[in-house]
Amino acid sequence: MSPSDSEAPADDARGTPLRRLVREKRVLVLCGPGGVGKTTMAAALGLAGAQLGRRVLVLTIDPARRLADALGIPLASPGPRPVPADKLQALGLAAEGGRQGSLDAWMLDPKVVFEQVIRVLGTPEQTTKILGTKLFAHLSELASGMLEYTAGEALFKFASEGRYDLIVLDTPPARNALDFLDAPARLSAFLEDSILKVFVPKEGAGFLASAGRLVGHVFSRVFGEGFIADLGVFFQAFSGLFGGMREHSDGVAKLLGSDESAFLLVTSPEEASLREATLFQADLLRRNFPFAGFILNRSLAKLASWPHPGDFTSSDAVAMSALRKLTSIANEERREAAEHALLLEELRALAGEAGFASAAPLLLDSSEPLAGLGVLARELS
Amino acid sequence: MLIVTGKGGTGKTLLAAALARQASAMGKRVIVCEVGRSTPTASSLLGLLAPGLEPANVPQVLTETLSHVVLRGEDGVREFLRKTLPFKFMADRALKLDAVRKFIDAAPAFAEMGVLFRGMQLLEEQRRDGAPVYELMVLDAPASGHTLAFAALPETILKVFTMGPIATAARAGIELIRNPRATTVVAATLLESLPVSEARELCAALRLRGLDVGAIIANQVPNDPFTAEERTALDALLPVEVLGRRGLVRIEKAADALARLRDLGAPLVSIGAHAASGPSLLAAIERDLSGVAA
Ligand SMILES: Nc1ncnc2c1ncn2[C@@H]1O[C@H](COP(=O)(O)OP(=O)(O)OP(=O)(O)O)[C@@H](O)[C@H]1O
Ligand SMILES: Nc1ncnc2c1ncn2[C@@H]1O[C@H](COP(=O)(O)OP(=O)(O)OP(=O)(O)O)[C@@H](O)[C@H]1O
Ligand SMILES: [Mg+2]
Ligand SMILES: [Mg+2]
Repeated sequence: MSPSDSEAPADDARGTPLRRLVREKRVLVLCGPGGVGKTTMAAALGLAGAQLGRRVLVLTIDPARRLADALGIPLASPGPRPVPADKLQALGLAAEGGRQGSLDAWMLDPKVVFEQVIRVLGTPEQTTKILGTKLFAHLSELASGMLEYTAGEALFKFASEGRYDLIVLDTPPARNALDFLDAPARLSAFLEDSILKVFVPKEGAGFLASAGRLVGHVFSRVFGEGFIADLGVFFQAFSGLFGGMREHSDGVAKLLGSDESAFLLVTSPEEASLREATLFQADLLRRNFPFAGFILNRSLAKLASWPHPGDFTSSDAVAMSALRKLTSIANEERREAAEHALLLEELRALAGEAGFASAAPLLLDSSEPLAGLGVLARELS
Repeated sequence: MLIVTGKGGTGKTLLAAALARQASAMGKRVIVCEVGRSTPTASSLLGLLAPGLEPANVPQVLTETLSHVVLRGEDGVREFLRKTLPFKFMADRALKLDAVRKFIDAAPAFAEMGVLFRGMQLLEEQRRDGAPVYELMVLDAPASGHTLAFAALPETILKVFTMGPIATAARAGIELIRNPRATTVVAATLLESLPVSEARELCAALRLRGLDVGAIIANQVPNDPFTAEERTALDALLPVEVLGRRGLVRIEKAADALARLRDLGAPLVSIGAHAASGPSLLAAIERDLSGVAA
């Protein structure tokens, strides 16, 4: 890493700011409102990183079937899978410069990660006990923050193993940027603290004995004795694992807060999404996370330089009538293109001196999704 | 119960408002609901139906046959505890306890069961003559992924809680949402290739969970002004990179997309892309829908 980078001008000889991030950072986190293209951008930036000769892992959060198909990886697997070399070659993304890059991708499976964490941190006896409870089997459906928490654990694992130069982390859609960062704390509140006191037996006394009578009454009346027993086993075996879990999450927080990481905010040109993205940015800055810049996705700005139907003419009356009809559609697109160019300028201003804003074009033809990712990778870097 | 779902931004809120208005205009006693987290200060749904009104977690009467309510998980949990515990004050006190609050906060499944429970409670409310207070509940549901999780929830709950009051409530929930005479889902989608794939997957997943898909609504269908000859002429004349190309691609894709929605085995309703907003957009959508609510 080059610590003196902050002094460098935004667009130096080594390429666009985004290209520099892809080349230099260890972790890129993509966040933003729902549906704006976080997962797609994560895959595109992963491709760009591999093209620059880095060993890249893309960790995506939602099981996006089309993306998995495009990358040639299975939708569900117990760990990262390499994107087949022929897929990369087809994009002209193989080996640029000296080193051969690689691209692995994984659609994160919270259950797999959580089980691994328990196996790593727990004794065989604790592990067997926890894995045997009904609560474990359904924890990801019942408890909030499992996805976010396990994404952090997976990041911790892969970052400490050193198999990858760059990890691109996709995040789930959220109301605000901090949801993702705070979710692990919510989960540990569930697993720790007062709940634990209720369920873990103190010497001699049965569980619930130490809790207030009302709490005990409420829990057993509402949940039924069977579930309470299950909870007791789960929490008791779990109590020994917290130290290790906290160490991991401290490690993740440190990595994400360091200048080895960069947070990218993805937004679409829609007003609601822009509004949310600016709130996200404020959240990140307030908490001192390394906000790097905006990606304006689905931008039509490039269209501004395209010819207008009015520039064409024909001796055929049918063609002329069609051109006339197309004019109003074209005018609308020209207006949007200008608007998006302006938006990008506004985002640049908002990103400040140290930040940037890049545009990713709206892909018109998504029939070949992998080729589309290749286009986006080139446009972005 | 009529559940309006679809991906983010597909028009769920507008469609829920339009469907609720139509049913109420036909004389049905309708309550239109949205799911709220804590105290909502703004509601686009209520903003469409009754601009200026503050959303509330108890039903608000908008017209003689139309009410609105925000369903909140915590209200459902409280009502559930009140019904389950021997004394009401115990429920209120339990909810004030740190341990109980944290548990409910961290396990959103309970809050979501709360939403379902609250909805069922409103549906069970009776007038003096024994008739239901509300004949139809229209739910502006959260985005589709969430709706699926919601639909699967009672079953998940039943796997963990095999007995006891939670299991009983979960069973009642399953009975309600799986009964096609009681509950139907309306799935909204835009006409791009991916959203359509997702809508198809959504329908399959809903049916797998035993839910009835009553209609599919193709929203923002672009208007196609071209004859087939005109299209051919344009394709011959224009390069790929030309202003207007995006519109042409969109029209083409919309036709493909409609074809792919037609074979899903549920009535398909098209709503145009209108250059309007607010109440006039709602009115335009109501016109496109006319007759469908029946
Ligand atoms: N530049 C683009 N041009 C055309 N289509 C795009 C572009 N970027 C993303 N899409 C499409 O938009 C849809 C949403 O993208 P994506 O799944 O990446 O968003 P997301 O932010 O990860 O969504 P979520 O918040 O639901 O996880 C996908 O169908 C994707 O193929
Ligand atoms: N038929 C239509 N014609 C024109 N614009 C439309 C149409 N339907 C929806 N819109 C636009 O799309 C936007 C989203 O609609 P709406 O809020 O109903 O979607 P939603 O699915 O409820 O979104 P969310 O997932 O954010 O709750 C609206 O602001 C409206 O401007
Ligand atoms: Mg995503
Ligand atoms: Mg809505």
